[in-house]
Amino acid sequence: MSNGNTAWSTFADGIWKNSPTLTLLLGMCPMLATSSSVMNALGMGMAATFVLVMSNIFISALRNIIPKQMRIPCFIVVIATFVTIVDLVMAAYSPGLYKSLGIFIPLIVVNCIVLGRAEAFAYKNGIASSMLDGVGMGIGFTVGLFLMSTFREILGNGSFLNLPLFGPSFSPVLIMIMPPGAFMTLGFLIALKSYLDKRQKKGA
Amino acid sequence: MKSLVITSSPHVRSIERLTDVMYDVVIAMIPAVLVSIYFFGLQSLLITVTAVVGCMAFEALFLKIAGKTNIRATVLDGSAIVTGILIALNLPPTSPIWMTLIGSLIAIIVAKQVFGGLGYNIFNPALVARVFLLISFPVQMTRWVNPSFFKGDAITAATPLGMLKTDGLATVSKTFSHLDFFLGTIGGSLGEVSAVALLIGGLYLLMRKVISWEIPVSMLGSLFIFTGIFWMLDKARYADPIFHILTGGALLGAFFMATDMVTSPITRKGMLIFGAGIGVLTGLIRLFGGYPEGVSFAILIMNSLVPLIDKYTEVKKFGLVKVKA
Amino acid sequence: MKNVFILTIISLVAGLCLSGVYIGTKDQIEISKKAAFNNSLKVVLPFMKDKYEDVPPVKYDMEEVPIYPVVENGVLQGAALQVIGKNGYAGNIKVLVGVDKNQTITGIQILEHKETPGLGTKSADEAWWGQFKGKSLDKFKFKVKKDGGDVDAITAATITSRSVTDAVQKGLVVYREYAGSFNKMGVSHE
Repeated sequence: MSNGNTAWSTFADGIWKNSPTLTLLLGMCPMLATSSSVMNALGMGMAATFVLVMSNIFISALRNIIPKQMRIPCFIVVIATFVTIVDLVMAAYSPGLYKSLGIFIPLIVVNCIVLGRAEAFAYKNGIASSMLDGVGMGIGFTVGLFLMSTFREILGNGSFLNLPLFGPSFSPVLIMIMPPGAFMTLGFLIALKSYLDKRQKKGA
Repeated sequence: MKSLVITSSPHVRSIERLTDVMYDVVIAMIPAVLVSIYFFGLQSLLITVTAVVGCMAFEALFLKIAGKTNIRATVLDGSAIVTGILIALNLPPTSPIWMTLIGSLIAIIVAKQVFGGLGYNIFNPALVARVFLLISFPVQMTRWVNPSFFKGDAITAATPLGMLKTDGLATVSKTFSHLDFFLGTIGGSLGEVSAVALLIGGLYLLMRKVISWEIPVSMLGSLFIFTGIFWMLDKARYADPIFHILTGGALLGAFFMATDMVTSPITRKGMLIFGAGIGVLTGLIRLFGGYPEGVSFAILIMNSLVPLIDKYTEVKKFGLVKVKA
Repeated sequence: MKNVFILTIISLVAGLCLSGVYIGTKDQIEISKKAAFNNSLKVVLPFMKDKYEDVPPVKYDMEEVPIYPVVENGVLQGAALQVIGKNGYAGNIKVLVGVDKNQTITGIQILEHKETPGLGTKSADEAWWGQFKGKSLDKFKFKVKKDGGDVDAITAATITSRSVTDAVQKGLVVYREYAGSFNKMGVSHE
């Protein structure tokens, strides 16, 4: 039972409690850049989750072979491989999304979440729990992106998943889908998260 | 000396005369507000009242949520009223009420309280609100009307600076005279139309020593010189420097917003640098930028440099400088 | 030495995997790209049946304008032209302009732009560019109203409207030249 419990917490930690973007403050660049619409955010979240899970699995599997001094280059090679796979597959089967995410797909290579989890978790833990950690963190990243992009798309474009929500008389707050809106939204989301955490701590 | 800890700026400034100062600023803005009511009618009064009430309400609300205790004193210290009036003066006379309220929300919560309240804000709240609205609602923020008093009914019109950007200098000189700019019979936001009302308010502030001469003089001076140089180079293409000082938000910015004591440098040298920077940036944006008006952007950019300016213009205290051997 | 060996092995395996994926997706990527472009072509050239001629770009005013003419039984039916609108609000705007044999606009598509979201991006909506449909150089002034033309500019995005309008006009001018040379020499794949 206790084993199942830790497996669950390995998985669940990343989703909210240790949310990569809202608590660990990792992966800010794609978070800011691709959250202007919910569609882009979900695409980015799924791409990053795939890379995270696969690289966690492989790095964990290879952890006894990869020498300590050479671990970072090895991690990067593994991560870059999966990122390139995502890049190619997306270009082939989802050209619209590929076009709007653009440079941010290749940039998953330098996303600190992926390298951070490889270093902090997968290199030290077994394959199964590394995979769970990858899934949890990936979902956490996607949740963060989803929250942020929902807020930004509704306010900044008056739509959700490209479906218009308000009548034509609604004038969207354009700044929200521009970079300044991204920074403001992220700031308020982080504040909200730490406010909720604090309240929870007080209650417990 | 070791016991003195220097923290990173912004520093808390003296607040002894805070409320007095704030109400002096309010008094100084009255001519501009009256002129805007005279030109644009009750709509302008409505915008002003909405902005002021909005600012005070959002401030009270934020302090309540944040669990602060001195809500009443903070809301009534006058700073929210000043911010409210300044927001109104920066809005076009056609502003819808919801837009005015969003402006108040942004000014008080995003630009002021999130940074820690009065004395800690890096950027001038009213200007943050203006820029936020300008970027978010470019259509509503650039819907100008001509003052109704002299030209019959209020009709849609461009501001002189907007006209300069899209139609060129010739059209502007045909439509307006310098007297128009001076009196305010032009299109523009509530507080940028009448140069004479702003000058009266500015002189009052100078006389009451609420503001000092350095920032307005160096800002307007550098704007005059900068635009003057281009005017001398090509008189058919660039407007003359007097035009640039009388139109847009130059006077409003110089007397009421650049001089905001929280977001401007402390030393005289610092103030001169600060003002000159605003003047040159304003000129650059007006002549070469995408927006017709640049005062608000210029002041915000220089706001962000204030800690740096303060650091390098700090007055050396007696005894701290080594005598050269 | 051993370390380098391991890194080499990992890189080799990774490289092998990637070449596999590359080969596997190469054709599909081409197909997707073509499909996206063909969709744009169909929007701007509603009369295009199935194919266009593959011809070299037309030179115009120091620029190379890619052109996709539609020819039926040796008669030029119209063409799509890929023109650049200069001086947009943020850089150039790449526009695909469709022209029929009467030298009137049949449709436009914005291929690439960096305009302000929510303002300049409205130029991609048919609600705006629809006004160009059926217009030709002789009966329509390709300038925004502010500049004395017939084009309704997008509110608060005059600069974008101006740039796209210039591009559309350029498309018509280039088409006129191309049609002139076509009638003299026929289709040229050189």
